[in-house]
Amino acid sequence: MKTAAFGTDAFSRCLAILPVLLMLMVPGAQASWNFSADLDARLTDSDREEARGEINILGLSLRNTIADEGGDRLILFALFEEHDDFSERMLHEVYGRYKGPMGKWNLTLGRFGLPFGLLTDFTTSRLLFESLTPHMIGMDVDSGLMVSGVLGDFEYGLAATQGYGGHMTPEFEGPEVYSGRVGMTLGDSGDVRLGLSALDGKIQSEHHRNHWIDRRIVSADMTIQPGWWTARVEIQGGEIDGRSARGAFAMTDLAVLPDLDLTIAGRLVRYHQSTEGYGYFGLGYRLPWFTIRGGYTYAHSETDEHIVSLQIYRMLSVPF
Amino acid sequence: MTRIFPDAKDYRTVTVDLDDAKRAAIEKAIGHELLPGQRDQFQYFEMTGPAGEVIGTIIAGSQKGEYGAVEFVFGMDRSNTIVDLYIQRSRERDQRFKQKEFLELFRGVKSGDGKSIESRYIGESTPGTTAVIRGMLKELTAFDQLVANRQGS
Repeated sequence: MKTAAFGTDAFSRCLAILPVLLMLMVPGAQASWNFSADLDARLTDSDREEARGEINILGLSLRNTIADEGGDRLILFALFEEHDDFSERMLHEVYGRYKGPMGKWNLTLGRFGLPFGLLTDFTTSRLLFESLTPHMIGMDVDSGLMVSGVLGDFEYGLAATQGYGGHMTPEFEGPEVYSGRVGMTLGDSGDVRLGLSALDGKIQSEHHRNHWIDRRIVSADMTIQPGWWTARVEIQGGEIDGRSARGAFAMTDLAVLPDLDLTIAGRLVRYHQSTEGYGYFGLGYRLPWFTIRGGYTYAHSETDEHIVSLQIYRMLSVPF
Repeated sequence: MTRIFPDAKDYRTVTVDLDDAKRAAIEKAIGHELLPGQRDQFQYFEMTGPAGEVIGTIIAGSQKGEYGAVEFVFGMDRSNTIVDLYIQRSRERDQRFKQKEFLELFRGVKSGDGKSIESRYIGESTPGTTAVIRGMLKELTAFDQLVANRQGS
């Protein structure tokens, strides 16, 4: 089924002209632009389903940073994505961010990444192994208002959003979702990051309009990047539709050779009385124009599944 | 940024376009080609005070190491002299280039004196130290040719 989420309605058009309006509002503004594109093509085979090759995601993004006499003041960003062999398209993110002095506070209006757990700075949408996000909170972006900032080694984010996620066209006003995260960074190079998050609200099912799911989740996350390896860990717990839900996620990337990375990851989700566990082992090799990733996933729920994936990924970024 | 300029009230992103002549001049001065993502533009940050006046400069640079990019951040005062430097991110196995003794070698260097960096370090050369030295030389040279010389300093 072909869908065009967030594509042609009045709300989309309003957000599309937001950058122009905001530029006109900043006297003496200087603007810098950045265009990015990325392509995620992958081949997946498992013992339960037929092999499938697809363009998983094609992403095109545009960022405009506008400065006034005092400093950078506005950041306007839009990310357009085509998913699943161009069968679904969406404005995955589109927002305007008013930046306060030194980023101590920022106001973000539009559709943006939620301030919640690892998701605040890390997404697995272009990787071969998913984080807890789709399983526990059900969306990675949402439309609304966010206050966020950095105060020395501390950071914070608090968002009030609608709960439609990135796949559905928002309607006013929509139900309410509140999410927030407080975090801190340790080490001279910011080697360790810790965070505590909470989310509460009704979130629309990813592909079913008017099917709302109550989610009340708390999360603790940690990222360690001392050098040649990176570890990310997240533990979540709470309720989904009034039933207990718990999840744990860990991912480690190791630079084995100058252009070869090893990734080991695991995810465990317990919802009500059922438990699903996933383990992943993969390699990534950087070529001059592409990164090639290959991995094996073991999925354990009511039955076992063995999945082999191969991905070609390319990203380019052009300032102008 | 606040680590280097704790009194700054804000910052402003400045982007300078590089044409072929400017790029060639920088590459001639540093003795090697600029990396693909650095060939068309040079970006830095002006740190501003209460009245919006520039109190210093921050440059976030990167240079290819053995295990990918070595990212570093350094600040210069209004006389374009380095006041501090820290490593933002790297995946190098040998971490000696993160040591304070190495990073402090760069303090006091003026943007127009980038070549002196190469002779300041007499320790064992590692992919990390080489990347930082080459990267610092590149950023200082670009800033000097594209910005400082136009300021008349």
